[in-house]
Amino acid sequence: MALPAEAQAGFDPVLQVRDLSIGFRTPRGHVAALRHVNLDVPRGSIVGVVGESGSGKSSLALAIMGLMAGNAEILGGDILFSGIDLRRLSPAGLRHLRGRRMTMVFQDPMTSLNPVRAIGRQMIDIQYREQNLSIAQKRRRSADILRRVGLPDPEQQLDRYCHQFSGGMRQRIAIAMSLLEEPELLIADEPTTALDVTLEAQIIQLLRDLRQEFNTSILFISHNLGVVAELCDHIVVLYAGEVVESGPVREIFYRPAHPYTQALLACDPARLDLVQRELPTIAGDVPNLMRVSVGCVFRPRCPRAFAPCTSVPPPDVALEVAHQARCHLLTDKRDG
Amino acid sequence: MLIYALQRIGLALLICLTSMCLLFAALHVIPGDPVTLMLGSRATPEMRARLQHEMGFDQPVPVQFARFLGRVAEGDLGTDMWTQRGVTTIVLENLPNTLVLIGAALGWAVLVGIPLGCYSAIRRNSWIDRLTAILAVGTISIPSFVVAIYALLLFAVTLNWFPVIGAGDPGDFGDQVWHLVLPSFAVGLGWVGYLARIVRASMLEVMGEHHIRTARAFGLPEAKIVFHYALRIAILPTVTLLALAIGGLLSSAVFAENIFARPGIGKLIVDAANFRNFPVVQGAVLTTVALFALAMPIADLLVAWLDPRVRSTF
Amino acid sequence: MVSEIPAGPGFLRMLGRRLRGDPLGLLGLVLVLLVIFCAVFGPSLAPFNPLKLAVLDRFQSPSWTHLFGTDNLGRDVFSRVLAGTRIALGVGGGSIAIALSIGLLLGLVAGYGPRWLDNALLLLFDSVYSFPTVMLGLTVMTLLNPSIGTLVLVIVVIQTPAYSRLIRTATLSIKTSEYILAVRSLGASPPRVLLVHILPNVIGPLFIIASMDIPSVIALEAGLTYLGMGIPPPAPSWGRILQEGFDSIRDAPWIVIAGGIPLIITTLGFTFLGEALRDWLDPRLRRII
Repeated sequence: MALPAEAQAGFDPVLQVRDLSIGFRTPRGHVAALRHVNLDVPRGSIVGVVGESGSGKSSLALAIMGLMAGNAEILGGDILFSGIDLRRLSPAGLRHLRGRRMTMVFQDPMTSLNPVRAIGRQMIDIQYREQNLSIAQKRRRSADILRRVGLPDPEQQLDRYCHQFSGGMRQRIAIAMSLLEEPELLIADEPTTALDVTLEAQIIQLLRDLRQEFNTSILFISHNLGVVAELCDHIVVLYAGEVVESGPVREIFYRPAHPYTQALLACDPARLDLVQRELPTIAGDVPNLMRVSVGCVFRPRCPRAFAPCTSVPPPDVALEVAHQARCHLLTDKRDG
Repeated sequence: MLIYALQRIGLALLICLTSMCLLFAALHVIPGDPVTLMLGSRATPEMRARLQHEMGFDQPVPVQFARFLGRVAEGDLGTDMWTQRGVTTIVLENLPNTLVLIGAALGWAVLVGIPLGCYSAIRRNSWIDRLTAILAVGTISIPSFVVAIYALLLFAVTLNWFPVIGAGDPGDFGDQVWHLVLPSFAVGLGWVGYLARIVRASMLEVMGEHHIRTARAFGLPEAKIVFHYALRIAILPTVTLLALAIGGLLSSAVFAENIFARPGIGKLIVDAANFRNFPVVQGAVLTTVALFALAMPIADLLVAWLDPRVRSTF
Repeated sequence: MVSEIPAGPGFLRMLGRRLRGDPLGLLGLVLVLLVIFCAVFGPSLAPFNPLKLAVLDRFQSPSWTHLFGTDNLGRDVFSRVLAGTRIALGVGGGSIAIALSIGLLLGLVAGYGPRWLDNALLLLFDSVYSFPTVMLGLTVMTLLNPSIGTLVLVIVVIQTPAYSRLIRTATLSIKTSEYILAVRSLGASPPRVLLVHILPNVIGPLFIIASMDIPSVIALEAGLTYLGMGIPPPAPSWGRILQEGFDSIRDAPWIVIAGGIPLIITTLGFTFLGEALRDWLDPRLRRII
């Protein structure tokens, strides 16, 4: 999100992604997974990244953390974490940041925790950088954070294994592990997708409370608009590897500017005002990222596409404060 | 857990029982007088009479078998007619040597094979990985006694680095270790390669799992991730495999003991076989069968205990 | 799977293409062909009679006349090695073929027959399996006089359980499939069901697994002969050459070296080729190490 100049005084983002492009080398060709992505996470806020499968949202998260697969490469752009240029950082430097100043919670709680190591030991492992603390003190810290995420009897739980917990509990434990070192940034990659609605609501509430308490900034990735609306301050809409719209949550939901965002909101079953026979969908499929077209990436599915959309890449048009969208249709709004 | 353990051990005992049955049946099915079958043609009439008395060949077959089982249950594996000593005593004298040899061979496999497998997994397609892969296939297939003979020829006879025969001076630990190097190498070489392959495959699988990515996300040092997180899981299947290896190791030990003239069960059986001394052969072989049959449930139980996922289901 | 292999000249072309990408497999094929060649033509090409004693020429080191030198009785070692090829492949291949047939039969019966028969056979297989191979061989050979026939019997007894188990498992899984039920409902008798419908579907992996056993069976024969409990003298089995050469290992090491080389070539060749074939025909078998 490019902020207007006035707002930049005192601007201290915990994360700044500038013009980031990522590609994957596959046997069948080169996949342009992310193209010229801009994203800011102001300190202390919760930013939601919304997109469907294949939009590149997980690649974005893994790229920030430096956990991408071997065949992925950063083609251009910068990632700045609290002013630190992550691309220039050595692998050791990046590893030093991970788990301490920036952490991540993954999507599937059933497979993302070590199955043969007790929860407590994993949490003590995470604290390996704390040279001044004894094992007992690390245990106490671990128990404290477990209590804080709502696990009953945390001292006992430390010696148990993750298969002895339900999915919802495991995700709480994962969140506890992520907040153990009080990081500046927590990246949550679809943390509630694998959970049922009740658990989801609990986790969302938990994240809200913890943000208050720890003042951790959160980058929340999801495909679920409802959840994002409840939790986030700012929203970034990702489509096929590009940021098509971004802005404060109220703006996005009440005055969506990009046709994709509008279509997404129209498709959300929770927002249906009328009783209809069919759920609205967006016609067409996500484009093939091995052959990215020149014009607007959403053109094949856009109900309002017109002449320039095919051949000219659309510009980022600034709308209200901190609200912008990438669409030809908006250019007269800007000028007007 | 207790019930599971008892079931598995019970099954192993049943298998031992069936094996004894088979041997016993062979004695009676094969054409010829059982006494001659067991002692060969060189036996004196006194020996024959004594064996006849011990085995009770004049009685009905089921009774014979029952008597035999009864004696085995008491630990009596029969009498060696030529030396008039109990077979059990003879076996127990020789068994520890073989166990030491097998243990050392397993030591080679574990101490060399596991690190090689780990390294191959972490540095895929490096020259060490490729070389290990080829050598593994090679050493697994080449017969162990050929390895033993060539090792003897090269390292002992030609280069004189190691002693040629024997197990070393009984009082001198260092000398015994020195005598153990070549034979255990010959027996264990194939298993080094085998274990390296298994560990490599297992590690590759585990390193690709999600929880390893989580560990990296927390910035844990790579060494800790490889050894405490990944290897700890990848190594579980090898425990079962090593138990299965005991059968092959016992077979290879027979050759190694013969070639290096070491005392042990293998040498005992071969000498007795060549001498047509069936009671000794039978007693020694049944002992190895029991060892092998019990090794597997013990390994399974060990894995069940080591893996918290299995342990907590009991 | 196996059905995707083209017949005739297409097969050879595909084989050629495959093996070019797999140098070890190619090496294996070359070695196996060499061994088969020696088995078939060896005795005719041998420069000397492998059994002929020439005590005056004993312990001659390798030379152009005697490529591998002579042994303790003056016999040409090279000729003995060539003659031994026929023994190794003959005994090895023959025993496996017999074990395959019996194992197939027992496996079908165990898988298709009543539960008690299955359990009884399983117990039998496991019991035989719990004997370390060489020890089982020695035990049987003690009771019977060592000869080619008894050696074949030993190998058959050792190999059959594994094959039976494989066929049994495959039969069990096919037994309940729909087309078997369909055939049975049309009135097919059990032997017909077994032979016509089940057998063709379970037999595929068996050949591959069996071919991978050739090295170990040849090694077993050589090993038992080495210990004096296999093929009786004067037959020039490779194990015999090794045994006779071992006593003079210090003075005439070439005998022992010559005895080991064919074993190494044969086992490596069949193993490399077997692995390449297995990868090609059914990569799923990689799971069954």
